[in-house]
Amino acid sequence: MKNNILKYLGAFLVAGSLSGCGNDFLKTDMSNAIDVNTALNSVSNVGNALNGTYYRFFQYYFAGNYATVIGDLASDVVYWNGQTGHEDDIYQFTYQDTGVSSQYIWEYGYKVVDNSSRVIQGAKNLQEEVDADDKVELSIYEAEAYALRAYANFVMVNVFAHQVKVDGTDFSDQLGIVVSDTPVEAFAKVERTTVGESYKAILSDLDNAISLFEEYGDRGSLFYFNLAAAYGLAARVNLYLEDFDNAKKYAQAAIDESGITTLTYTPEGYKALYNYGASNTESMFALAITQNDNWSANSCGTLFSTYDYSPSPWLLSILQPNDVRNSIMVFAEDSKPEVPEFGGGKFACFAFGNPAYATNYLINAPEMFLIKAESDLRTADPNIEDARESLLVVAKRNLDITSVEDLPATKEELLSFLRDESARELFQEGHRLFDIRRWGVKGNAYAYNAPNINFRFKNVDLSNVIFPIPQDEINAGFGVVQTPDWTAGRPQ
Amino acid sequence: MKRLLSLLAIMSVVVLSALGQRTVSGQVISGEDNQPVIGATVLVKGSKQGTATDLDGRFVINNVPSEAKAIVVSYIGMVTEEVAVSDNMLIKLWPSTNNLDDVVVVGYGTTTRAAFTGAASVMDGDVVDRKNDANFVKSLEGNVTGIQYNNSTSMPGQYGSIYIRGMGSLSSSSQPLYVIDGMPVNSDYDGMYSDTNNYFDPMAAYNPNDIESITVLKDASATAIYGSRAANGVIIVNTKKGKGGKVNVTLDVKQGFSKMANNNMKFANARQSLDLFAKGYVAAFPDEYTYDSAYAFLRDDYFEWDGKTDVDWMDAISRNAYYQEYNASVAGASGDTHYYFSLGYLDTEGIIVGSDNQRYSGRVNLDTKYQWLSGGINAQYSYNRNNSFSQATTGSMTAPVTAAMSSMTPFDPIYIDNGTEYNPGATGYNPLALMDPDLGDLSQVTNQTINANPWMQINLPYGIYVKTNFGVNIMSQRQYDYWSAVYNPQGMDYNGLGQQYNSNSSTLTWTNLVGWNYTFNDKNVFDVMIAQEMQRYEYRSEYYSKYDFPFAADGMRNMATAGTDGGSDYYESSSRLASYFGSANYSYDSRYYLSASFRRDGSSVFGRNKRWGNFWSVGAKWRLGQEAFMRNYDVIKNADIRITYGTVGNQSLPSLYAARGYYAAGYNYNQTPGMVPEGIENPDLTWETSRKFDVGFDLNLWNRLNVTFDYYNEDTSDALYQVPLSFTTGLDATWQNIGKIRNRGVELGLRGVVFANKDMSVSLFGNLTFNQNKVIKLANGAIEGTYQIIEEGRPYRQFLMKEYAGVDAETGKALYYLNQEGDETTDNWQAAAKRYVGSADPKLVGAFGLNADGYGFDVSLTFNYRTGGKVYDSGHRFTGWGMDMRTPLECVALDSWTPENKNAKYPQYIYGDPYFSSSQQSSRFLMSGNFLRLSNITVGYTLPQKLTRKVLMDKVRFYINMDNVHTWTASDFVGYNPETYSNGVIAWQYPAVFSFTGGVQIVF
Repeated sequence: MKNNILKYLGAFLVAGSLSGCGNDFLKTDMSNAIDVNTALNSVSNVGNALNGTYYRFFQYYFAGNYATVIGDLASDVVYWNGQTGHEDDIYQFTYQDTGVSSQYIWEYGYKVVDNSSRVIQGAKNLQEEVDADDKVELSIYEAEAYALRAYANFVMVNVFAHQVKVDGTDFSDQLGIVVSDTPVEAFAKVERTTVGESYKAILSDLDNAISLFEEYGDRGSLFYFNLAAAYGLAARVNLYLEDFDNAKKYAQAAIDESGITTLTYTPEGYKALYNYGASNTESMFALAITQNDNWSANSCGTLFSTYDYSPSPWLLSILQPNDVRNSIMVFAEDSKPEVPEFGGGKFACFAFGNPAYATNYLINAPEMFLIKAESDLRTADPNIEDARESLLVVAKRNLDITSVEDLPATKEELLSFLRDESARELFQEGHRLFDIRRWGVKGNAYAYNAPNINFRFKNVDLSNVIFPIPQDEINAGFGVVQTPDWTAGRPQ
Repeated sequence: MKRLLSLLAIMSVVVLSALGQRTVSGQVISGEDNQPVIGATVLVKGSKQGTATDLDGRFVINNVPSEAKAIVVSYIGMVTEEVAVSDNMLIKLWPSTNNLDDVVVVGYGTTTRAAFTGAASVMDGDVVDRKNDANFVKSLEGNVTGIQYNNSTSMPGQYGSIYIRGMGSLSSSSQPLYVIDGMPVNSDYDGMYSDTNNYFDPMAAYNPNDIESITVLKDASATAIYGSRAANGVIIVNTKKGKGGKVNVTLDVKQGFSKMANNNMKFANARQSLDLFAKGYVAAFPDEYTYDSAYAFLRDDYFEWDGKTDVDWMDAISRNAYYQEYNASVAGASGDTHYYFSLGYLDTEGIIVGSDNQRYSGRVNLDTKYQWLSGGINAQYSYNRNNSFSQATTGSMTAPVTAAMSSMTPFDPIYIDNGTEYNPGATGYNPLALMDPDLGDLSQVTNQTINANPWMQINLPYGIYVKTNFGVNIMSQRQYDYWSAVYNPQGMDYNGLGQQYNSNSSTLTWTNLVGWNYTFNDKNVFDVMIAQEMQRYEYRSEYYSKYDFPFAADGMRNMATAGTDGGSDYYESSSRLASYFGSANYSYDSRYYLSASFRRDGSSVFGRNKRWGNFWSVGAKWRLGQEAFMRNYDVIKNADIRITYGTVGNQSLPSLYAARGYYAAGYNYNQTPGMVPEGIENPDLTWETSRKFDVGFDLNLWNRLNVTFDYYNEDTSDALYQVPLSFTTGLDATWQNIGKIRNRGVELGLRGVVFANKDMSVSLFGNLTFNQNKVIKLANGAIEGTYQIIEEGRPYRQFLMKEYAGVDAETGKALYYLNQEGDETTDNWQAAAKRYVGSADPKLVGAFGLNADGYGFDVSLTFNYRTGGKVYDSGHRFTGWGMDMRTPLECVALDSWTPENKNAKYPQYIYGDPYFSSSQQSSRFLMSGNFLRLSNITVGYTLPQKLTRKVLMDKVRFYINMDNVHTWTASDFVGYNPETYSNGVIAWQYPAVFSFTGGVQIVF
């Protein structure tokens, strides 16, 4: 009897456990995420989403490496010794629509665009219900999001589409990129706009960013978009559009807003600009790459050291012995003239000695002086003297140049000088290919045979160089088409 | 033992006092070797009265009713004998060739092979032991029909995926469900990086020596009871249990070595390489160089070659690796308590420096019975230490294989000036330095796996029982990666970088079931079960890094010494599964069998509208051989026809939150929190459902030849796939139920005794699986990837790429077929159209071999083969064939086009490859994956028992095992191993391994 009672009791207990296993049991919470539909419901969350946008922006897939270096690798200022293979398809112009760099620039560029759009939308949605202090905070977030979106779209339209203007010739009716003021819904059909429309969207975003910054101020941090940086980007965009008046205006505004009216002219001082993080006192906007947050093997610093990129023999040849910029041209101990191993240059991170910790300075005062100079020279009514003054600010890095008298006097000579000065000054900042393209001058690329100055592509027209839309985007089949004949512009 | 003997004595006394009853006694011996069969079951026919044989194979049954006429003697693996009762019986059991009495471990219970309606293959634990590998899963291919193991890497303890009857899902992450001793276990690998193919295989944590048998369940009838996780098949592992009879103590010691298996990756020597490079340099820069000046420049300035050094770097990093394995176990029974204890130690070095695997394992299996209550526990613990390196198919210079092939050249001496200081080479990545045992890089996983499943069963009257089983499976893993401060160029920038990744996953499964077994009139047998199950899966991981190692030069690589914090990361996830299920089996007169099962599963990973799914199966079997009219056919000893149909599901998604739209935190910038949108909400995301149909037969002829045949068709609808999105959405892909795919094929297994007498037997076996897979329907018509396309009407690992058409004899440029069809060629790679150039899926896989026993010797020989699949090596265009002055293959160095050698096999070598002759993807690097492999030779010798008994040993067996003895590949295959990762791609592959071990097994 006792046995039977125990038996049935045991069976009852086990059977009892059969119940209570339904929908509630299946509810699981995510430990690190919140619902996308309600995520941007507070000022702090809009701030978090903006910070996430900066994260996408500063990843090595975008501004942290690929989007920043592509313009230098495919140009005459860089040398690759061939020992390791990273981004050499760009360097050798053998890139394909499956190329790693261009795929990531596209993918992460659009992450920045999408995330910015969400922040802009989120900030606007909250504006009505917040107090004055929060309104200021939200407006600054919104301004930064506009600026980030403009930056990302500007990079992408330059990489994936034809240069908008090539020495006066307009290409704004060519295929541009996909632009949208709001986040693109999943599975929605999209379409590439023209280059002109893409630029229009970029200018519109910059206008919005600038007016919001002007009204509500900025964070005053080098590592976040700010008014000076927005002016600086506007100067660059207008220069590309050959709107020289606006280019000059915004360049001057950037200089004034940042207060960087002069540059560094000692070798020690120049080298110290590239010590670490905020050490560059000539910069208006940089990435928060640090010892703790860096891209390690995928950093720009690694590319310009272990991964075997260095300044080209030609670039070294146009740096005069007394140029302070020589101070960062430090090569590794085992470097040989024939097989150079660079120490990182602007990515050397001299304070710590680890190039991976070096940050990318994205918008800097020297470029503003060069934009002013170029605008004064190329405008319909050139102003040679102003141009010389602006150019001198940068050119004085060569200590043998002390006054405008040391600079050429004619427009053409000055333009020629400026083109070399840009190479000297903007090395490792990723402008070179796009500058050559928009100037419409014949260029060189794919240096070899160091220490001799030799290029595989000599005096070639680079103005039609267009990187292909990634194959994965085309294959996904949502409407983005490949640029016809993108291979034709690639030097052979 | 004493207890057993006293029990026997007491029983004898009782017998003597009985009247009208008799005592039956005798001995059971093996017909093969006349040795006693210990633990055989002896039952009085028509009753439950019986016993088990003792150490000498003897048995005594008391109180046997005088009307009892016969006894039935059975033993696993032997033919059951029915013998008329007589005095002092001597009963011979013969090994079963039809295995009808084998116990088949199926879902939530066991059955006999005869009663099993489904399609399953059972593999004996001894076969598993023949393989010299940490991972028991590797022994399945060839020994079980329908299995394909993707053994791309032969690095010890590393993960490989497996397909049962073809790839059942579009997503390669979908793997079979592993059930060990009735408990589902986690088989998902984990690691610090997602793209390095460098993962410890959770299945390598289990000691193959503990395995009694492995059952691979394939069709719906067999798998449907596992419902939502069974679409890719179920692998059931049954570990050893104590048996009646004496205590068995088994010691097994195995030692040996392994080395690189045969292959055709022969790299050029220094002179051949330099000659090719110089020609390539002149071809690239004809204005600057002549052959002589290029040769001189490359020799003196670029490579700084002394003219003598000639290093084969793959040879330099490979070694004869040591293998040792020790196992000890105790198995037996005391009364109704059965026990099995084991301890194991395995230490296997990899053939490439820097790779090895060690395992310490222990197991306790206990079960006991007291009246109506029975219970037990199967528990296992293992500690694994695995050293490895990246095997990314994109290449990683810090991986010794990649560095040896792509970084170092024959001109680079290993050491500077023949001393002890490593030569960093031009790139700084000297693989021997990188893997220096004291100062080099580390990628070390320590894995601890714990399994325990206590269970209890209450037996009620009328054959009803209630069982509860609580399964705990915990995998705790620590991965430590260290970039050398001394030898890794990137690590040097940090003065050493340490990264620690710890993860813990736990799977708790609680199963409660009620069953009913009953037999009416000796002919109607019912076996019914209903059950409920809850499963919780939880995962946690943490990452942190530090750098600046002050004592790195003294060999201190421990993160405790590092000076600077390098960041951290944390993650948690969980999933739940709630299930209700039941099965019913009915048989009539051991001739007609019917089975049905149903399972309803709810899973937390799917969209809120589609969390619950129903799965079911029906099966029938007709044992034709048992029919009276078949008795006239002496040849046919057994003939069964099976037919089954049903549905099973697949819930395997790499993300447990694939159905949700969310902003994820952790994307921090400037040391402040950040979040990004990651998922798209899909409330309708649901199971992938496979409808499985199987028809087959099992035939036994002359008691010597077994034939098993199956035809199957598996249609998977609502196939889960990560569908690419436009990047303009800010996302790259999302999980969707997008289509329907089909696997269809036949399996044929033959096993026959070709010779047998009292002294020896020789049997042959052969099997084949022919499988064809096809995408039937796809929401978007096609999804194109870099090398492959998923497209309606085609195999789903269909290669799509430009097709190489040889060399233009006039120009030396590579030619490609211009259009999708036709013979027109072009030397403009860009202009060539993509073509469908074969599939990664082999059409035919199988094995054949021989087993022989006699005069104390046992020999087995196994060949396995694959045909019909293609292999793409994505590394070849850089290494071997590449034109960037990385060490070429000898054939490329000697037979590349030159104006003097216009009929060359390979295009002109031009530095930088301006014409895309080699550097771009094309079918040039797509090769046949066909192979035939002599995969195992085992020879053993068991000392005569009369000899060993004198030293108190029941069995002493010496043996040698040879794995992967030789592989014959297709003529166009160039590589280390034609086996690939699941996508059919290889690159910088860890070579296949030949291993030779010898051992001794002693049973006391």
